[in-house]
Amino acid sequence: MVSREGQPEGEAERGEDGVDVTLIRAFLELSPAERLKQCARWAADIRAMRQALDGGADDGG
Amino acid sequence: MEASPLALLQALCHSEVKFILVGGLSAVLHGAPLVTQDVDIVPSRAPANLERLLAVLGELDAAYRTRPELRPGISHLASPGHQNLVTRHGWLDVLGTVGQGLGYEELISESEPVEVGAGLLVQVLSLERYIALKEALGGEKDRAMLPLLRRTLQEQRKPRG
Repeated sequence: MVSREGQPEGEAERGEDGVDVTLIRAFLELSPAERLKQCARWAADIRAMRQALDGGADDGG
Repeated sequence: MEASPLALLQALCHSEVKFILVGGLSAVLHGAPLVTQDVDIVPSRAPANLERLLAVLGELDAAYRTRPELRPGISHLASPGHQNLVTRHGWLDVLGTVGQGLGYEELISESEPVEVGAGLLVQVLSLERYIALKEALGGEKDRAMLPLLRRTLQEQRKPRG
């Protein structure tokens, strides 16, 4: 399951390339529409963090 | 401006614009946990389709990101080049071609319809082809993304149940 913060519960399994395989597996469990929503939430979280750090700059991406 | 890829895709689909979703968002829809809000599309460059695209770009207040006073015209959209636009729903890159001159006609067989919400079907580039494009680009940012994309493809191919 992917939590609100986008992190799967429990410990992450990483591949030899360092990729978080647990996160990929959790993301694959979602429907494409849910993946789009989750991606938007991550982007919003990052935007909010950036705004908190630098006082509101947003590159739109 | 609040980016909303879904709103952008809805506007394009409701206007019956033929396009293939490429770029990071196509990988997200195939299961790659990436963070992106940019919508990258390769539209059919058939004249009637470009007219529909131009109309919807007008409704979306699309302008060039680096020169917001400029609006795209039919000749820009008909070119194989990239139109990097900003719209009221976020960034939209209209790509005449990608990779080695691959346009809508070349990529349509390497894409599939994906439901992105509320019955909205979008033609999305396959993850295999997206990885191949990234491999060919070879830029630092593209290379950095490859392990995640390849691992996603590997996991996607495993039987789940």
